[in-house]
Amino acid sequence: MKLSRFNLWVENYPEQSKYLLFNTRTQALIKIDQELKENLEQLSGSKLKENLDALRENGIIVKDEEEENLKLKDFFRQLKYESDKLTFETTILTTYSCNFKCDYCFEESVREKIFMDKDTSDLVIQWLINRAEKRNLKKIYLVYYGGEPLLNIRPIYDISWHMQDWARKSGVDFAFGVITNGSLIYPDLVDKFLSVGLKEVRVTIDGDREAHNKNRPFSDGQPSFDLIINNIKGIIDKVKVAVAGNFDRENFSSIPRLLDYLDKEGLLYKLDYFAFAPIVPRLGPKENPSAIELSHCLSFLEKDGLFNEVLSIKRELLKRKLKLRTSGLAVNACPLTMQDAGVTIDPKGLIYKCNSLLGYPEFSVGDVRNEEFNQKHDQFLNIDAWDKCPADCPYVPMCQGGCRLFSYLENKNFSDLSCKRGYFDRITPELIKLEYEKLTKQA
Amino acid sequence: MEVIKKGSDNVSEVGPLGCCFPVGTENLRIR
Repeated sequence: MKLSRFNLWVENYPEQSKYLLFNTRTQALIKIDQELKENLEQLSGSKLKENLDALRENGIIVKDEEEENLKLKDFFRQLKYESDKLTFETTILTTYSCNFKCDYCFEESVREKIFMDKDTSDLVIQWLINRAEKRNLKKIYLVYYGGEPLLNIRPIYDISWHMQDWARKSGVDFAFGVITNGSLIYPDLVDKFLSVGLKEVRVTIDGDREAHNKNRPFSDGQPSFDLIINNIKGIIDKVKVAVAGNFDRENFSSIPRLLDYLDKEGLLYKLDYFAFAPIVPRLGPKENPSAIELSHCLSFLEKDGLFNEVLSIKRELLKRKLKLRTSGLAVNACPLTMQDAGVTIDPKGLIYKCNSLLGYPEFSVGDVRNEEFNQKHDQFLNIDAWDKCPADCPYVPMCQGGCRLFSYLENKNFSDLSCKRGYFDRITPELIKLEYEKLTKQA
Repeated sequence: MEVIKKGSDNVSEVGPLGCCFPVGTENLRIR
């Protein structure tokens, strides 16, 4: 037997002579004492013997290298081909148009006044039902998105009504969420959506009033913060509302002030969860997608990047006993390389597998007018970047060779490694601690 | 030894999954 190469140790945590052990393949998190740690290092001793079954079950100990390699291969096979065991999540863009003008919008180059029409939304319904029946899916979750999705509400109601009706008759779980800038969400609209399966509204707020209004003004430059807060107040007792936000070095320090303000307004502890993420680069103009924009944002992964900011926001949320969407210790289940997973349908009915590729038809993997995906889908599906990872890297199951979009931004192709090991080395021990705090405090 | 979170060979049980790169950020889907 041997120790898994995917084990990560956090020493002397949560107290002296205690250790956290996290396995990146099985995602097991265990706490051990000094004696068991020494037993594990020597692979012998009474404590090891006592706990051997549990250590094997959690993947901390494996039989040999061959067994571990087989399990890793099986892990990637499941990720790629068994996503139908997970909820079938489809994002639907009702429009590419938006009433905001955010500097960092990743759809900047593709924003157009295109709205999903009735013919297309009917085709979307048919495509979804065909897909669900073919794959025998038991759970369907739709996310409406844009542009600003509430600039075109008819497809939201139509598609959801039909899907809810079909799901009831077919014994399938169905629900949907809306990701909105928060400027057009009102109580009567929420009532209407609740009748057809609305589960959650996610509103984007980028910090306190000043920071948010700078980042996310209306198209004509007018501020949007106060209107959004009022709109949230109008719906918070009807439906789950989550807040997501984008940050860079400039606005990050305003996030605690946003939390203070939400608390003062009586909203903070009524909100469902919080998710803040660094702003990322985007593809270039439509005719030249590889001319990437906001490339400096990639620096949050480098030596002097936003590690501390990422962590301090999570700690701030935890300190206030707020719900984190995740501690951050997630598997990067890239939809591009997963069969059927993470599908996004744009207002024209084109299908994409990564939201950062939206609006560039050359990267679309299909069309709701055809039941089957196109050749691009198979090209993406067949990418196995993890195969090129160094054998000694403990992060391979979580990272899989990196984000495929980042590979395109860095290498102009989707299949190379986009290795961020330095980032992982720095941030993962802290995320393991956060995961421990989250699980033990929220238990 | 205390198991804080049970591990699994089964990917559908190990979550949270999702387009969530890089680790530590929530996802790339936030506009």
